[in-house]
Amino acid sequence: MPISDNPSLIREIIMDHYEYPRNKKLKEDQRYVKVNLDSESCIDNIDLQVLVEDNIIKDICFDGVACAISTASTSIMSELLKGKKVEEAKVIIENYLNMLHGEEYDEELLGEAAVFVNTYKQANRIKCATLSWSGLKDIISKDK
Amino acid sequence: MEINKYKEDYPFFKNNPEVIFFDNASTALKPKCVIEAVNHYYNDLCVNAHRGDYYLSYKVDVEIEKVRKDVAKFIDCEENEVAFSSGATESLNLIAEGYCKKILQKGDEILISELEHASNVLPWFKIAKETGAVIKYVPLENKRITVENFANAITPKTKVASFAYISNVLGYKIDAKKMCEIAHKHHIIFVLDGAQSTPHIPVSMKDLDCDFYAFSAHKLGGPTGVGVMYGKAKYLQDCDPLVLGGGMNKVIEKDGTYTVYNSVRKFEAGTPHIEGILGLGAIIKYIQKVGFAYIQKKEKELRDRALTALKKMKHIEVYNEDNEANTIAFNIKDVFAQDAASYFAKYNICLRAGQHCAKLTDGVMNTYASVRCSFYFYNTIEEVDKFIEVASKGSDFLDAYF
Repeated sequence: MPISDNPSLIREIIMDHYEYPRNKKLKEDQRYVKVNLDSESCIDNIDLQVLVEDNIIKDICFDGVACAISTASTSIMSELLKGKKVEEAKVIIENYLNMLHGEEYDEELLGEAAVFVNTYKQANRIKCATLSWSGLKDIISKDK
Repeated sequence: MEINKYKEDYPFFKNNPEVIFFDNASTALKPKCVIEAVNHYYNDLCVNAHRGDYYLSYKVDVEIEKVRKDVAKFIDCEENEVAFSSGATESLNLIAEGYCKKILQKGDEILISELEHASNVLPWFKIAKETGAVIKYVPLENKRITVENFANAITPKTKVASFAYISNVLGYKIDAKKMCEIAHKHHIIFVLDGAQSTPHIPVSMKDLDCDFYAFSAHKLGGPTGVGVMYGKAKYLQDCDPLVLGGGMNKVIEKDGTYTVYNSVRKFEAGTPHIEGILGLGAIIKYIQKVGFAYIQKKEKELRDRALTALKKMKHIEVYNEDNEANTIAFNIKDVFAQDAASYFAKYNICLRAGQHCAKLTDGVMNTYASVRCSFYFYNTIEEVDKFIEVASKGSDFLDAYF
């Protein structure tokens, strides 16, 4: 059964990533590209750090204060996209953003990120679930 | 069920019967009379002000000046001390930029507090930078500005002091009259940000004796985009307008010289926010009809009931139970403020989450953000009980997301 059909699993995964976020520690390393992501419509404020080498996303980490949806989506993204080729990551991000905006997407590419499938029903949380993903997209698009 | 007769005056409740609106500190709902006043301008008048060549334009002028008179009565000052602005924010910018900047020199001190709204912080930062003046903060006592701490923070270099009469997030009221008296002994210009006080308590410029006062119409239930800057006439004389243009100048010469009106009109360049000003007039009359005695009694009743219940909940932390105002700032423990507000929103309860435009205040509360619940006299006990019921289950906050 896909994750998106299992509400209790969805809840469990989001809460787990919110309470125990992965990769939530910034690195003291000049090779990383760092961006601050904040939102004019809410108080989410995340610093995202990415290390891209040889066209591969070697590391993603973050820190900051943000809501459960924003924190969990960043944590899940960091796990899912770490080690991926930039081109692969771009496709995954595209599919993720499509899902968030109620457009066609391939759930198989998204792993745990599929837990945000119902966000489009809560328009005010779309921004939370896409803050870091859009930020990462900008970073790796610029890098090329 | 409690019948709140004032509710009937608000079309909002008819159009949104399921909504519980507890975000009154952000903006108040608009009664019918305000909407009618706005419509009156568009339906019946429609023409520009200050073009008294024909009857309708003359009538617009008369109605605008009538509101100025009503505002003067409302805050107990003279008509020539009331300038219309786009709101408290613009008023405070005008006070800082138009007047205070002119009296500040390098090393002079501007006294504010960590409880201030951004619009009572940033204009001071800006003019401090431009003049070389220094921003000083009155040390807080249990999150409050006390008269004593204010007096002790004054130095021979203090030239301006500016505080919210009632603070935006925590809702603490200052002893403005006493502080003003002390300020004047030291020849300090005393500015009051009245955005959160004007809707809830009667204010008298004559009694408070403050030098400047700012408020917004919309927080009382008037239109957005209109407000008032009060200034003592002697200071308004020397206060420069922020914006230049039509309707405020007397003479313009080709060589670049010009003169402006020697009245509050000099602050009102361009076509005024006419319908807004008429709406402001309507809300003032409405609030006076309701009366501050009733407003305060009702707000206290609602707040006390909510507070008593919240305090019994182990998963709720309240930051301002000892305040004088209509607000409760709280968090659901271990829940980010925005998640908490989304949770309440699922039950159609409108609360504000965040830093409430007072980013220095969070340091005072030891939290990054909080949820603010703020009442007005048209709210009801039933609404509070619904809020309490939802708050009591608040540990399950992610429900809102599913």
